[in-house]
Amino acid sequence: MLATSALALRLVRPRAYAAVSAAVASAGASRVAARAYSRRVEDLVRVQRLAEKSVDPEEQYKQPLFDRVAQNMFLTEIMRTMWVVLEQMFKPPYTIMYPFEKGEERCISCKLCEAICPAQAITIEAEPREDGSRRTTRYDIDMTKLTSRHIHQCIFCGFCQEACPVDAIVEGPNFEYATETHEELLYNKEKLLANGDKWEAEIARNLKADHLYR
Amino acid sequence: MSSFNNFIVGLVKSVQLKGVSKTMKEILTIQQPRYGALVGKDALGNEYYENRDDIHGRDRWVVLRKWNYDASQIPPEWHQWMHRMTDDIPSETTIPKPFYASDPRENLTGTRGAFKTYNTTVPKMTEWEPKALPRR
Repeated sequence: MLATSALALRLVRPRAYAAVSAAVASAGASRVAARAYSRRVEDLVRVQRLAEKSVDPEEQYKQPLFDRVAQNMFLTEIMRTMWVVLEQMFKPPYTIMYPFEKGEERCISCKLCEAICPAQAITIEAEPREDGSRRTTRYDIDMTKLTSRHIHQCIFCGFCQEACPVDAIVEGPNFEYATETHEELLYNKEKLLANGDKWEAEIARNLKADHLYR
Repeated sequence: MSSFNNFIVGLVKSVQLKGVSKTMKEILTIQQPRYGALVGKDALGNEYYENRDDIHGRDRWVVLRKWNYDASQIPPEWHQWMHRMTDDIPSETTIPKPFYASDPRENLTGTRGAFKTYNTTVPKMTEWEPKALPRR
């Protein structure tokens, strides 16, 4: 650092000071002074870059050994990932060709909707099925919005729909489901699936109208 | 005066359009004889009418077939037309109806068909079954 600052002094002083004194002496002072000033700034920048170049960052901030080794190791991670991608290219795709093929129920019981529900209206229990896939055995939503006494009730915020990674839970267009008793609004999994089947015609049309903007 | 005039004109035109019995039903249900174009009829026998000259918000209406009428008797295809979500008249071409879509059913609350919730899991707690040895 000492060497570079000495260099800076040597570079800046003679040219810049001469220019400044010349500018003050001459009659058309301001333009010459500006030119001299800009030259001085250029010199400063050049010196600064020289100084930056002379510093070796690896010397200055020495990484611990394990950090450096880890950085080299992660290079192999890229190769391994590329190998996984290559493997996938030779596998049949998982995509279901929707109108011709149809998957079963979409819910994978990740419980994101249960977690995000601000009213804690959703209750999920999951178990592995015979084929090993994880499915819900209980999917209950309390649809009632009666009094402040019932805190576990759906407030129709739509967070569950946003949280769902597989578009399994959707808010439908129906609002004519008022009932006489509280019990009828404690929806379980079968009821929710039946609701979806009933309103599928309209939901499908909405999705079709919307598909360009998704 | 104008409302009286509208009633008379509506009554005459409604009778011309729908006949006396349906006009009477309309007077008893929506309390006003209406006239307009018959847009369509759904599988349940409900009739959908439209009159674009009527006031905004009242230009589409349905004459429900059942006397014990309920808003949920409108099937989903016509639901969106009634709610101005679409101007399409529901048909096989405008509604992509998937094969797994179930038949529309009305809100059966207050009847024997009302939904009654039940447990979809195996209960985790069981009742205590007392086992007593026979008396000797």
